[in-house]
Amino acid sequence: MNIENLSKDYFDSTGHIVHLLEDINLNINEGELTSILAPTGAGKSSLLKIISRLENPTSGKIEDNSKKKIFIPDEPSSFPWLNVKENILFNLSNNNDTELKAVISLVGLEGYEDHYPNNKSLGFRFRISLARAIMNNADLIVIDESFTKIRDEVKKRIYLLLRRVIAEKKISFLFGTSNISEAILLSDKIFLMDKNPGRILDSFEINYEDQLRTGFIDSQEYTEYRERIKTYLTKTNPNKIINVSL
Amino acid sequence: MDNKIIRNSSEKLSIVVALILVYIILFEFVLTPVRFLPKPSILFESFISLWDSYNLAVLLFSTTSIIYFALLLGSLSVTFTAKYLLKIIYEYPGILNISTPFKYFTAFFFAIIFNLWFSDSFIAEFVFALLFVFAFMMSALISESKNRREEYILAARSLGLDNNEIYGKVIWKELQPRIFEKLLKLHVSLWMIVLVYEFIGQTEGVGSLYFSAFQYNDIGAIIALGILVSLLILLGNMLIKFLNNKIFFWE
Repeated sequence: MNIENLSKDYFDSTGHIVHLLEDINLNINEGELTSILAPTGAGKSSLLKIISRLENPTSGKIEDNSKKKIFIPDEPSSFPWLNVKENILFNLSNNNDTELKAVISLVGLEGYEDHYPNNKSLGFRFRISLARAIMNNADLIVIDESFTKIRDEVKKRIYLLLRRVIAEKKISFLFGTSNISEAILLSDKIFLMDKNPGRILDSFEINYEDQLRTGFIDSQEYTEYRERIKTYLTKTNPNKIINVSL
Repeated sequence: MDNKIIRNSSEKLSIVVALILVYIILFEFVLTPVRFLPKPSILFESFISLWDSYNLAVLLFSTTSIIYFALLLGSLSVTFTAKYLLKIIYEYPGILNISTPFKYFTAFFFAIIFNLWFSDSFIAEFVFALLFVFAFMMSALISESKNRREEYILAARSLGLDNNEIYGKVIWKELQPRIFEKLLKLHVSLWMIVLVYEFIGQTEGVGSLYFSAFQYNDIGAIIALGILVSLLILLGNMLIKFLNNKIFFWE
């Protein structure tokens, strides 16, 4: 997917025009996880919704080869009135039992098929949304800052899960985050974004020999990537990206 | 949680028992000449006379049939048309302005009008109750429709659902528990408005029994009836709460 010169404007409550996104250029490669690392309020969610075709841009061009895009909002969107299995099969007319079992096993929800998502953790509900996206044969899954309120231990397991899905299913992911560590640990490519207006500042390729990224957090490479991005931000745009913790 | 409910219920029960004891002691033995409350023994006789002299069983059957059938039919009709009602609310909100001129008329006014138009008609009373239920639930739907969760809609749209499907399969399902929670308030209001309707028109029902007791200055019957109706409302509310907890378990 290639995005060229994309902009989004809107009118605020006083009738003044606000340039939310300006001249956005980025590309998403097949079977990779691409992150958009931006401070809160940069227009990251709007950009992700535009890419998911849930909102329209004011101008710009989106060259899109993906057949099915699924958007996972910042609050995981499993429906509380449906159990895990019903949630995953929501709106699917023909379901393949073998495939369903394989997907449930992949996301780690085996044995929970009849459970309801209410009173379950955000991590659990995210797994349901992810399984639903996979069952829908999505070739691009767009995730909007879904891990902010999830505990660190659970986050690590979800990072591993996402990398496993990429390795096994070759699905492309686009991920919006304001957490540098999260972006480095998960992504194959990071686009850094500024705010007021939201613009792409630069991009960083992240390479690590193990595709699942196990042990990456304790590696020298991880520290180097983090320092590189932090130094870049300090030089070009101090104090904009706020959360640098894991 | 269960222990807390049991503790609250037993506290409430203790208060009721204490009040009954105070009432018996005061009005049976101490304040016998006072007129504003009957002696407990007279009240007890009134309970019996309600069944014998006032034909309570038939009247009670008539009133409760109207109330509970209207409640059931109104709820079902809103449930089955919710998809279309939500479409109107979100896509054609101007249509709802039709109801604006009637907004400040009280249900009491409509009870009088209905009684004038269709005097002594069981069907008219049922239609009046049904309209009241529908109007109440529609107003609940309009106010709750503003509190929908955007992430469900985004997820559903992303999964390929169109607006009509989203209204029925997502928004209505999300709003349903909150709409049906309001049935408790509706249930009490419906009892009140149906009693008023029957009192005004003296149509067959508990409201007309109130009218007769009022005409005969029978304070014992009025109070006995008040206690009976309040017990029925209490039981009805308990049943509604139980059903809500069973049906909308995820809330």
